[in-house]
Amino acid sequence: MFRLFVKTSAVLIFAICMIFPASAELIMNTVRVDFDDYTIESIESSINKAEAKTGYRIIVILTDMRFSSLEESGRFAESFYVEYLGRSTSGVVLLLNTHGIKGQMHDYIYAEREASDVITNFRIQRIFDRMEGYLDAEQYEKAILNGFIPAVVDYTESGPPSRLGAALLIMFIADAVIVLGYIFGVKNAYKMSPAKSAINYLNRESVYYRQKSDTYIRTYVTQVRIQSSSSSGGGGGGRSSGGGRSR
Amino acid sequence: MEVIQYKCPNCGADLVFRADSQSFMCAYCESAFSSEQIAEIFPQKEEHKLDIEEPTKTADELELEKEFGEFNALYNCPSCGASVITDANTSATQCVFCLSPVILTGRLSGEHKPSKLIPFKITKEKAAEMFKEYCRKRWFLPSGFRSGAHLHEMTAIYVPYWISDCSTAGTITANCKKIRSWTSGNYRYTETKEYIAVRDGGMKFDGIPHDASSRIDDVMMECIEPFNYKETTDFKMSYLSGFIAEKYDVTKEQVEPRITKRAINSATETMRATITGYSAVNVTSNSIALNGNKWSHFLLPVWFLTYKHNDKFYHFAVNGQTGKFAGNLPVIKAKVALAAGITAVIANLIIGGIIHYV
Repeated sequence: MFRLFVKTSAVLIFAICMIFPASAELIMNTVRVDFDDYTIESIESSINKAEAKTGYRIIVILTDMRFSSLEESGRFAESFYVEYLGRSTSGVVLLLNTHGIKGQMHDYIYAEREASDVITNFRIQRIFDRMEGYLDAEQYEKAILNGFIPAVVDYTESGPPSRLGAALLIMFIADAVIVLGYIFGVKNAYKMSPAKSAINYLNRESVYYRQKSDTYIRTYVTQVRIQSSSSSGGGGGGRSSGGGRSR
Repeated sequence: MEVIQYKCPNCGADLVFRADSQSFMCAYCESAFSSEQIAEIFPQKEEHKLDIEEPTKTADELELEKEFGEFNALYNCPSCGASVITDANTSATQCVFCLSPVILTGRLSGEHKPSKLIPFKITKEKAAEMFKEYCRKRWFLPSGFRSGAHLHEMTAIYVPYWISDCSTAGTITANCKKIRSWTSGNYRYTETKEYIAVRDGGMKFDGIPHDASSRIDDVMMECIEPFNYKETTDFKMSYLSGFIAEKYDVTKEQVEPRITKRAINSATETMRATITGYSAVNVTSNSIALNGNKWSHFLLPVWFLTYKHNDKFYHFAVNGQTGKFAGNLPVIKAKVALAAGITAVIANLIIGGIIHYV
């Protein structure tokens, strides 16, 4: 039932986009954000240039829809992508939740096929890091133009994280840990270090507290799609990545 | 310089304090005496009231003696009569000619008189054994060092200490996080809950020590802590017989900053330990301060050893009460590099294999 709702919502927005094609890549289903023509043109132009550079389809959705969780917004982004472009197209979608209720806005990035090799789960979180300041200030155009699009281009140009590179990096880190381990181990076992505390001399019965309080401040949730290879509709093999962040 | 010696009432040979029996032994006739018996036999010596007739000196002689006494001391050994020079801070030593134990009473009188002392409990043999045990599992030591051939050069010294009874009070504030992760469908979620924890209070510290001799390495003395103050005894000159003793030349005002730092660190640590149940705790503010300090002056027992390796001197200390060891050990760097290299190669082979097959 829930999946049906998500899928129906995605199809509905997709249908609206087809009837009123304000822009093929920037989809605005929001009343709280109203970009002027110049901003819309800038974003479209930037997306087009990025698509030309990367070879991936890039979609940005701004919506006031209420998602109950990151998982739901992730399912929505994925359904929308599949309806709009199909699983055989390589691309990435950014979903920005704009209804403005703090703690209930669930943003999401979903990448399909080759784009998922470049926009990995780890990198998705770094992209959200780049957008974080703008999103907190609800400067969505800056989040897209200064955060999301340049990051997608940068990661595409640098290519997928190399396995050899990763292996060498892991070995290098392991070697560094071993060498540092020996250095600190020998230093610890062979060299003196001054006593930092006087805990041996504490009179435990004398300890008293005038205040002992723990005050709750806030809660936030991050979500990462578990990267997987799977068979999906159409019989072809599919691969994707995705991740989100709540505000 | 006023000096005293403790002689056996039976045969007249030297009496020295023995750590293993905690009594005074005659090295010649093997008579043993408790500290109470010594106090009864030598009441004047314990009170430092020896009546020694000093020859009349001229003003020039007195001036010269004063100048000389700032850095050195000259005493006549009561056993062999030799004139022996010691430095300005030595309070107990032995005659370099006849090896008789000698105590320079003036050095530990007045404000320099310690209130308490912990007698040596660890003998030279026991200290050497503990030292060898400490070195046995350390692979990167020079082989000559591990053999223990140098251990006969150990020296027993009563080190002057300032002992502080102090209290602290103040507040710490910390940012804390509870992190919970779970997987649902194709997604991994991480929930972070943030809290602010405040702890305001105080506590007392009994007997934080700091050595009061400028010649002795402070770090090394901190490393052989703690001493068990339950075994302290009122200071008596007789305990120094057979040992070297120092008088303090570092004032309590000079050691107070270090004591304060240690007390505040420990108070912070104690308060921080009550902030529990979190995945991460970050102390963001700390206003703990020292709130009262009472000082005592103790003499505490320490074995010292110096070892020369590749033209460099290494100094070590062993707590004369507990046997705890401290010192910078000499390291053969080539052995460390070889071990690290072999470990790194093995680790790389394992990592390469895992990545290849995953």
